[in-house]
Amino acid sequence: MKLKILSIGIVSLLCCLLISTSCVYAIGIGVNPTKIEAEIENYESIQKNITVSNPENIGLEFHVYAENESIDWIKISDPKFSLQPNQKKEVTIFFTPHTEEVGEFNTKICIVTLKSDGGFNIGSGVKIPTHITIKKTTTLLPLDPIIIALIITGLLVILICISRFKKS
Amino acid sequence: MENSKIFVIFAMLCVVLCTASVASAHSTWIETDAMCVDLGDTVDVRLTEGHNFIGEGPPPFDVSAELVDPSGARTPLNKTGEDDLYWHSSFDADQIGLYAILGRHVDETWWKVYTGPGSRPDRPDYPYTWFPGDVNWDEIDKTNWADDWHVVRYCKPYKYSKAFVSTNCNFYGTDSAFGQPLEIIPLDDVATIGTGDFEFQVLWKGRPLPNGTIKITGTKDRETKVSAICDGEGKATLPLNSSGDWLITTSVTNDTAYWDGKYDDTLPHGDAYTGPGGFVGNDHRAALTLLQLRKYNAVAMHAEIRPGIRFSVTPTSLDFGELDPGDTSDPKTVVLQNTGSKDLLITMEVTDTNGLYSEGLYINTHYFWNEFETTVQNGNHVSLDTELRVPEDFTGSGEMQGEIIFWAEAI
Repeated sequence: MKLKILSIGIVSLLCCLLISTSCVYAIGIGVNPTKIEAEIENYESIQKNITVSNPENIGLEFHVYAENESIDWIKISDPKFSLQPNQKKEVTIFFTPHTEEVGEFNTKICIVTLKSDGGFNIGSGVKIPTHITIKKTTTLLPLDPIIIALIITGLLVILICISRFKKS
Repeated sequence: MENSKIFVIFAMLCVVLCTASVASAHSTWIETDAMCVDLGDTVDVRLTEGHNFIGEGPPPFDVSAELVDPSGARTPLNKTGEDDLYWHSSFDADQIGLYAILGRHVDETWWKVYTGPGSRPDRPDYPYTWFPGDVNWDEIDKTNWADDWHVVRYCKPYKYSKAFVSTNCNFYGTDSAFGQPLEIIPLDDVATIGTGDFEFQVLWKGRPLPNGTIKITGTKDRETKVSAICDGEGKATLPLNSSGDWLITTSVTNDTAYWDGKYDDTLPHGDAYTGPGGFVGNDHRAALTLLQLRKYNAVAMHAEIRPGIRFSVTPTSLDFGELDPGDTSDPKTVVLQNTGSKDLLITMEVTDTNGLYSEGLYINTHYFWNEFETTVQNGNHVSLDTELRVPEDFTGSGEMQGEIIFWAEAI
């Protein structure tokens, strides 16, 4: 008798486990492009777009960040956002290097989604290898109108001083 | 005796919990990659069962499939493998024209029992309880059951599935019956799926069932579903207004609409029950998979560009159960599915505050998590067995929080 009851218990438990495991959701992510190449001159700034999509049938929250935190001149337009099922979003990556930066830089743009329900949670993420080349500007001086105006003003002041010095 | 009672209550609780899911029964359907294929292509045929057009596992018990080729010849499709999601088979599409793939899944017998409102602690308003297979009625705790409890139905589910593939993208002939006992026939052009009203006919052994017996449901995803009741000719029209793949399924409209069996007044019941008894027989269901045309669409041009990287991880959390320091958990399977256009290199990152997972998580028995990486080809999936080894000197207790991120990078 006890064996029968035990077997009913085990069968029921197995059913329960099978059904409960079959109800789990997946957590997914879609991203384009798969790599980013950027070539810029210092003093310049450019932007690149990436598309993030939610391929699942549940709403998910996404985080976007640059892996190498020491490169602080990479900014993300939307570092955190939510996407409904099968929705997608374009995110802009701004590259605005400091004036003294020159050379080759490698980092990865990371996009990750995770559903936190307590316990040990699983997330899915994508890393986009990003290569940035910063060249020294080919313009000798920055052509900012204010700077040009200041230079002209300075030259005029020098000329006035010289002419006064000659008169005296 | 006390132990016996505990087991019975435990079994009841499990069954009650189960029924919440069973109330919405599993469907079984066929998946292929596309309905239009090239001549000579090998077509991968997959059978899965689940809900809302989301596969949850290979159908259990008796599964078989048959191919009807363009000449009308029938050949069995042998099982070539099975994984966490699918029963697999395949065939070479070496003839010009339409192939019909017919699946048959005979599931486990189920009891549907009227136990009365309040009989289930998880769903107080739901008056039914479900039991699989053989049941010893004397052993079941009926404390909360209504006095007029009775077996409503005792049925073996037969699930028929159908899908089409064409090597010239001509779907002439899909509006014919292919001889399944219960069959859904698309009366409109399957190339127009997802563009508006679509008429179907449901036949039982070649004839319509009585008006109002069968409901058909079109499912595109969890949120996109439409239903209609079949008329006296077995016909119903579904407004399939959204482009994409659709699964069409049948169900009976109510408990009195089952037809393959008879009522039995000797079935177990409570003292106050005076009805005609429960229905004993077979439960027949059908499913038809219709995919949005992805190649050679002669009617309209469609193109869906897959993202370079698109992948999913199942499940969304891992429960290793109750463990002691020094224990190793049972393995838990994680499935990584690559549905993008690039092959992927997958690595993982584990974070926690207590060191349990970051120091004790192993993959496929041999690999510590941070030594492990794997590639997943596009269109394929990989299953990983994860296990947790609790360090001997682990001092924490209670539920442990942590995260594991599966990182994908295109290669």
